[in-house]
Amino acid sequence: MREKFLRTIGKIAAEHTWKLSGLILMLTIFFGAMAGQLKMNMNLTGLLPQDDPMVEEFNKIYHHFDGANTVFIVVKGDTKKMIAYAERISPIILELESWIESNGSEQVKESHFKLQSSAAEKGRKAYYQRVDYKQAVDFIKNHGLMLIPEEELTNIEELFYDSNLLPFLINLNNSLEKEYIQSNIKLSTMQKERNAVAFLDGIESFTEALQQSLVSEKDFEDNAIAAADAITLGSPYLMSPDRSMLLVMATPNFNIMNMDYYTPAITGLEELVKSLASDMELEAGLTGSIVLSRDEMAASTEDSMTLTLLALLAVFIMFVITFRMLSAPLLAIINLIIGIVWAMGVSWFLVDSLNMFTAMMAVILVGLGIDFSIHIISVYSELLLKGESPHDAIINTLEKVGTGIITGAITTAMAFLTLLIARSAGIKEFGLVNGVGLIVIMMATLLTMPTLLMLREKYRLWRGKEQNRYRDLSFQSVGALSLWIHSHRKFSFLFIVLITLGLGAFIPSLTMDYNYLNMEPKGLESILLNEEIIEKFNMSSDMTMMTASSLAENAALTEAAKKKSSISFVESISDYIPDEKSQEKRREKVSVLREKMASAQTGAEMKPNERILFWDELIRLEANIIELQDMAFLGGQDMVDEKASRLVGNPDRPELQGILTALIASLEGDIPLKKINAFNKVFSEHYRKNVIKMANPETISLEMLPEIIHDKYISEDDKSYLLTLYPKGNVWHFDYLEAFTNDVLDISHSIVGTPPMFYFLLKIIGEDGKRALFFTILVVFLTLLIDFRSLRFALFAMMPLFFGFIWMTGFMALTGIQLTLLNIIALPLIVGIGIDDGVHIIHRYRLEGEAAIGSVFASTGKAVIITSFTTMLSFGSLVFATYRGFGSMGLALFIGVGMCLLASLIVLPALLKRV
Amino acid sequence: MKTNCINREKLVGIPLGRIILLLFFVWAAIPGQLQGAEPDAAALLDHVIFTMNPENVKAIMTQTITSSSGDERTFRYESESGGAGEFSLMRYLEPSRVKGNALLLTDFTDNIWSYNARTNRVRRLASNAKKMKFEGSDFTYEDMGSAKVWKEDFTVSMGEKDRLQSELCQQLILQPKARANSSYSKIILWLRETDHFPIQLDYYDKNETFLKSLYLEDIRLVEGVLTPFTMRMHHHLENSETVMGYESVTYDVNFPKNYFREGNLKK
Repeated sequence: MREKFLRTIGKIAAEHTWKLSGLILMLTIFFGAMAGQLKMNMNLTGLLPQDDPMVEEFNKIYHHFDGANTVFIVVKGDTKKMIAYAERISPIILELESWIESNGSEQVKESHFKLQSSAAEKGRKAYYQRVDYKQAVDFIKNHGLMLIPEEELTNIEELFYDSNLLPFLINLNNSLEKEYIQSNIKLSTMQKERNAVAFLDGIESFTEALQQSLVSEKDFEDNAIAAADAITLGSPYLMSPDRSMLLVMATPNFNIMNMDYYTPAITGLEELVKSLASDMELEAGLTGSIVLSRDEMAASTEDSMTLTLLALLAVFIMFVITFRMLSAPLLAIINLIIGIVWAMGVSWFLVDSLNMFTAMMAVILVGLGIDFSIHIISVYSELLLKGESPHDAIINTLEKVGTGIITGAITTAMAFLTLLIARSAGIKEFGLVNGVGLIVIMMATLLTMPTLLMLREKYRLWRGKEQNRYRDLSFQSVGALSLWIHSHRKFSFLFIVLITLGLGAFIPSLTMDYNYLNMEPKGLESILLNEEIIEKFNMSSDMTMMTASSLAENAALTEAAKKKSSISFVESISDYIPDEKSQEKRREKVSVLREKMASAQTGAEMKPNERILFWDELIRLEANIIELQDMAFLGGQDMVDEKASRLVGNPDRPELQGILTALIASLEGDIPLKKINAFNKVFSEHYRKNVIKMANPETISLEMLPEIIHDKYISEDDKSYLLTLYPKGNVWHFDYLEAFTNDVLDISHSIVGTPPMFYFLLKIIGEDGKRALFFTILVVFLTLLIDFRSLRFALFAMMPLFFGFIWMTGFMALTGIQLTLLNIIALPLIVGIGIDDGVHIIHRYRLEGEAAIGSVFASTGKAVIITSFTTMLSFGSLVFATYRGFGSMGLALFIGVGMCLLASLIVLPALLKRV
Repeated sequence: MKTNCINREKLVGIPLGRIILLLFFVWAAIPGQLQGAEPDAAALLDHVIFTMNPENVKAIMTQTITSSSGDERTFRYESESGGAGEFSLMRYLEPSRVKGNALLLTDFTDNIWSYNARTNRVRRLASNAKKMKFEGSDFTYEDMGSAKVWKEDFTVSMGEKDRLQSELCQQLILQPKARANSSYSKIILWLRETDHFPIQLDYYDKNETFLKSLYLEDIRLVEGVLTPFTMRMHHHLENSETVMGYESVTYDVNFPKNYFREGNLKK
């Protein structure tokens, strides 16, 4: 039946070549138009099961909250310049469109105008809706003391008794001792550590201002005001403890799924950020999940194009070398391109966009699709050599190799399609587009390749050229080797078993590389900047979000999150609106402090006999900070240690002198009273004003929150509240990722964000890989059983795969190649791809019989070697991918296909004797 | 059947009362655990306290803290303990940054004093510090103190017998009394059946959550005292671990009267 069908195709190709050519051309134009619509989407969301509650929560958060996607602008350099940079760039970001139109690169402008015209109908929105680079200072100025927890307020309340310098210094020391020195509880969580850093930062700014006032009379008023603000309000900027890095956070009006915005809004912003930084002699760059997604998309798009061309070139060269001719390989490549265009066109019907796994489908299909042409050309040339006419040769070729091609394509496609059982949407799509794509290429080849060969014959006839002189290209040495194995099967089998046992012994040591950064392109700025953020801020930009349906729930979740050791800090509306009970408790104390400060005198002059007291308090302050520093060092609170080092130095770094230590050394016990009193006059007055304003006992309600806070934390429908949790470490390292995800899950199960999504993806892919491997073996075996209608032949065909698989995994373990998120999918694929060699050999063996075993391996062996080599070359080209995940997949497939080929050539001759 | 016959023959002619008396003496001479009788929980706790808290100890110890993210910090210090755990003095030797800094725990960790070598100041830590982590490790100050407090502050009951890494163990369950100042709701001690030496302690927090486990490993006999050379505390919730180990240890030491006083910290 199949043979008859294949003969018919051959006959049509031979007798209606032009008509068939026209049909193929029309189909190619049609599918090409479809293929052009395919996009690249490298988001993790697209890989997760779409019915997963986390994905649903993810979509919900994106729909209701503005702050769910943040682009982090990382600025490095001089502290004052960084602050000026943040102030300057923020309004420009909010009108980025105008900046792009006048300053953007051609590429950015082009994508911007394209997007603007298509978005015009939907209503144009700015690319960025908000920029955060400092706290809501006015709100803190008016309500600051109501935001301090009761216990902390009790410990530091003395700070608000008297604003004159000497009593202030005494009270500062008392507060520091109560709050930190006598209890290490205050550094027990990251949030508390952060508070300690902020407290020390205030002291650092105060010391700086005092120092400047004492050495110079210039700007002493500004310095005194700055000192008072530093203690009462703290630094409003998102600055690293060592003040060498500043963060600006831009919230887009699009989300990670809107890839059309990547070039104009992300690359456009990057151009602005870098150009302004260069003008101000600073360094700046972008990071955050959405930026990383843009980088991955750019890398994979580039990889997809260049690697497909590289694979095609490699296959072509291989073809020319083995067939020692030019026209047939050229036709095979044309046929392959047509097939891939059809396959990509069909893929557009199946999936809208290509994901992290499917991005390389063209390269995979080059490796697999070329095999069909090789089998056809190989047999066609053999038949011509035997003297058959092109007409008969093409019909007989399809009859001889067509069934093998169909079976091979179906078994491999079935292996791919088995991936449809996967939970991960990414793997499902990978299986679907490659499985269907392979069938499409097979169908395209059965129609196109005979047509192209006939066209060539017609061209020759038209040009009056002689028919090609085909040479016998069968691999006689392969035939001889198979004959030798066949006649020494006991020895051969023993050798095979020993090799298998040897390599198999290494399989248990095959490990999994969970570090996703090893999959990413090397040297990506977004990754490097994220690592720098972690180092400087003890915080990663890969945040995780959750929602609360009430303020009470929000407060409970915030408290729970702040206690977790893997969480660096929590952004929540609870920081701006404490629950009613807490506000009630604080109100009385805040009122008392307000009255106390209101009745306090300012500008009290320090008397000569108080100088020694002032000096002692400075020494006491230094001692307190040293003790806090040592406590932090022992407790592993590096940020506090680092911050304290800026004030009191560090015994491990003698070259570093702290500014407080330097101030004490410069005074040498001699306190310049005049200057101190002048400083105190301004300082005490401004400090008093600040405290009175901050000690506002009014209950804070939602309505009182400024818009900038409201929009960040409260949903558009005012029904839910957003909490953002920032990890302390690098979530791309699996151990940390697991600890962080477990901590977050301990707080709530309705979470969303790159870290938990990636964690679940790893888990799901691991499970999918195992299940897919099992089902692929089953499906391939059943397909073989149907094809051969013989259990024995089906089992024999499985043998090269069995041995090849052991050799592959054993070899990987032996050479230290690890399994990765991407190459784990290679395992079930090898089952589908590696089975082909055995199928072709057994098909031919059944046709020709045992007596012809030498010629079977010389002829089919040749085709099998060439097809395997082309597949290996194609997959091998993935090693050159900038996105290293593709490289890991390509390498595993390269090894797997090679091992299955080797097993087919040496295991089958030893086995077939027994049939 | 044959055995029964022989026994019966032998018993003939011997007065029953004498046999019972003889059996009683034999039974009394066999150790409790071999008799299969239930040991008393309070007596077992006394045994544990006695085993875990020798009168005086002097040691050089290392402490390695591994956080959940894999960061490691190692400290080395000299440790002295007296009054069967009532007093402890730890003085840092390494890293050089904190060399000379010391901690004094008195009254079964009710009072904690800290000495800083750089400032030459002694500070008393707040009373709630007892429940806090000891220098960022997985041990709290409470864990570092004497097991003697269990006697007064906890009720003790027998738990199940179970195997722990192929070793048959008797569980002893400690629950704090209402007045106790403890951060735990329950501590389960796993005592190996052979000598009732604890090899694992499981700690549960106030919400009954299984918090952490202390593994006592590499147990050696030093000067007649069973000594776990490695004490590994694993925090199950935070997935962090702290390992404290002895470099050297001696029990043959006497401390002068008033040695464990805050005034001596500066010396």
